[in-house]
Amino acid sequence: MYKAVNISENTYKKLHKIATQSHTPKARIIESLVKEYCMTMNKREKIKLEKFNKEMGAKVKALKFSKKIKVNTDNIDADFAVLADTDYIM
Amino acid sequence: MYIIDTNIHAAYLLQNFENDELTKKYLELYNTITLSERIVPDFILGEFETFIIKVAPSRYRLNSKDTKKLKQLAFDYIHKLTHDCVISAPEIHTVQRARDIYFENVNTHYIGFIDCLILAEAEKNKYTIFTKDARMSNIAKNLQLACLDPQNANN
Repeated sequence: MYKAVNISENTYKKLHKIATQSHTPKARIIESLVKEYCMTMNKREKIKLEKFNKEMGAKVKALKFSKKIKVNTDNIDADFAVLADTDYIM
Repeated sequence: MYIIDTNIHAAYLLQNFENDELTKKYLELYNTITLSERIVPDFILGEFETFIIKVAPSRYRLNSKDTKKLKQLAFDYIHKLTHDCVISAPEIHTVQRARDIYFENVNTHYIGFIDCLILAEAEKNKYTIFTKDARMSNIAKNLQLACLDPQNANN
């Protein structure tokens, strides 16, 4: 199923030029460009994730407390019960 | 796109102090989700902030020095979440849908209103839910919503 998009006159002229020079239908050029764009975005996203994991991971792993504690995050709703009424009094 | 529950953010920050294998699997999976696929709703940010700043220090009886360290880590994490991930806020219809889910379950399978907001937001936007909360996962399945489950890692 094909969908229509609106592009500027200038962009259309450039697309037409590429299509003429490469003897390729305009739709195939757009599909290739989108595919290429997605690949570039995925690479960029992977780099950003690696940076996030490295920087934030180092900070998280550096967190040490002065005493040993054992955390359970399976049901944190129940943990909210520890808040005393006074915690919300201004 | 994955809507990330508060318990995942909390497990991520407190991973040095939680040693069960399932949580490790959740975090391994979390580390593979790209930042632009992580949905961070405003209400989750609020719940997470309260949990880390108010609840965790009290629940685990942290002294002021340890509380300060945890707060600083939370500030860094919230800063990164709000800059690098996708922030969202529910529309009125989503809040109304959350209300319906809440009252449908309140007497049988109670879940909090924030959990209902997650379900409604996921339903509206076709997000996959990422939570450690088994009760919410069960209701999500009943509503035919996708959940990311590390026990079925091929999802």
